[in-house]
Amino acid sequence: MAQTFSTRIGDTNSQSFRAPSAAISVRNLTVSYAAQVAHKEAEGSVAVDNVSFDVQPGEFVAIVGPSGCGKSTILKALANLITPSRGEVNVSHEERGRPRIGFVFQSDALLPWKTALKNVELAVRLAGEPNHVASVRATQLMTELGLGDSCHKYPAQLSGGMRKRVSLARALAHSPSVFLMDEPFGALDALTRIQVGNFCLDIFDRARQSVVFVTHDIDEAVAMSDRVLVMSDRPGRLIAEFKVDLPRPRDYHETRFVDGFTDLQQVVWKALTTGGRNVHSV
Amino acid sequence: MSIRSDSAALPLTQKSTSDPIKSRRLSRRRLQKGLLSTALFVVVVAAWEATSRYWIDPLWISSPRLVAERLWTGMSDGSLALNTWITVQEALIGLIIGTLAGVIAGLLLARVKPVAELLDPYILGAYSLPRIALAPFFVLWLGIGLASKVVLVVSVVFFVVLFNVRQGIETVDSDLTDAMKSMGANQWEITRQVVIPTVAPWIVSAVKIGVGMALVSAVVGEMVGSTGGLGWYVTRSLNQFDMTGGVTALLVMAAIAMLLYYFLAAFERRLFAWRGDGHSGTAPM
Repeated sequence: MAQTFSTRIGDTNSQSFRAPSAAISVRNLTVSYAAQVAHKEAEGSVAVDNVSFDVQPGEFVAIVGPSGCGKSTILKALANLITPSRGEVNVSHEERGRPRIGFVFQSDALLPWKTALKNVELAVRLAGEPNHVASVRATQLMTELGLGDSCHKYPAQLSGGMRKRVSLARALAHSPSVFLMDEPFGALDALTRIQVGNFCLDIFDRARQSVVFVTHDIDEAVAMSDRVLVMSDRPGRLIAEFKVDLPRPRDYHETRFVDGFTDLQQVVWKALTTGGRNVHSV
Repeated sequence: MSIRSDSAALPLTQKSTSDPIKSRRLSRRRLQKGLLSTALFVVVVAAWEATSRYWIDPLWISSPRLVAERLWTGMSDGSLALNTWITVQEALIGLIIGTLAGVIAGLLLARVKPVAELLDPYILGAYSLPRIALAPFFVLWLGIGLASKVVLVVSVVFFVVLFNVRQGIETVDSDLTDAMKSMGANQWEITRQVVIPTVAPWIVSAVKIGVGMALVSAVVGEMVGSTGGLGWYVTRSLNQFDMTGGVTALLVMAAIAMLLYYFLAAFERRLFAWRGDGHSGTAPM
């Protein structure tokens, strides 16, 4: 099923539109950088323009779009790292207080002066656990993720794939309610990307947290997600949405040869290249 | 679906630890280097001895033998040792206070940008001032004791550290701070876990430069007005035409500066072991 966002949704910042079941809801999100980065020129300063979408609990949503279209900005708004100029963002959480967010960056964003284990431990501690719990939980996670041998190595001593796994372990460490992933495999070579991609899929199959996954790789988006959102060039708008009904569990690479994959990949590609015009149902 | 590949079988990357052949070759090169620098030292000392014996009166340039004798007597009767201790004390106390103040001021100024912009012209002005010229002022204001030298050292070290800290803060990786924020870290945690470790190499490199500056300032302060210290020892020796005393004090200063520098370099290597084999140098000034 495909749906096009040919008409703009009206300004609705007076009411909260969050469906009770949604894990993440974004309403009329607009981010313009002029207010935040003074030296940017006024023109083209709108990074995200009136974007609305929901993510259901356990759903894996991929956002694709040309580079610089504001995909990452949406994630930053979801993680509360930037304040929206307009609209609202809601991330559900069971406990009181802030939602817990597992953010995975394209760069691994591991603290280079801490060993792999200490990096994971820090995440557990920041989630409010006492030190001894943090150490036990971090060691357990590292072992579970097959990183037992790398505990006492510094990020600089690990390969790109291992670092990525450590940053996944860190994201898992504070039991997040949602995962936000910003082109997490962008810096990996093709083979490692397949391995880490499968590793990731495996984790999400078991954990069933909601995921928002930003990428510019259409194949990756279709292979991993339940739904693909397509964004236009800057200023970023949502121009199309596709449901991915491929069976799970999936394999990061082999899924590309499953019936229906190529069709989906084609329509997403078309939506992306035509900027959302002439998009028909799948 | 059976098409899934085994994701648990990722290759473990093994970083090649020190290769025995390579390390042996390395230690051999080190030995050669050590021999060469010892030889150079012997040549320089021999040339000095020869010059003072055959060409120039030791009255003007002293001689290695005279300096060695003075070093021995001065250290054993305490006259030189005491003055050395005074200078080291002034330089170290000033270095520590100046570094701490520079780090704290640098971190604070990074937090309050408007204040930093307001203060910048003054900071630059004070930095551009040859602060050694403040020595007579501090001696007048604070007397000929320890305080005036410590303050002079602080005034010199503070700005070097401040400038380096502020430059270091510019290099903080925004992904790291974003990651910390997304994990729920507060500003203090971010400062402690991200900002300070990022800035640490910049601080160490500032302190390495600061060691020499601190000794210079302490000695100049002593020359302007004091009752002890290596600077005072030099001035007093030369006033009495005691060239050997002056040269001995100079050599002691050089030895202290070198010792402190090597100590810091060793500390730096330990502190930044996490950088892996990539870099071992210092952050740029």
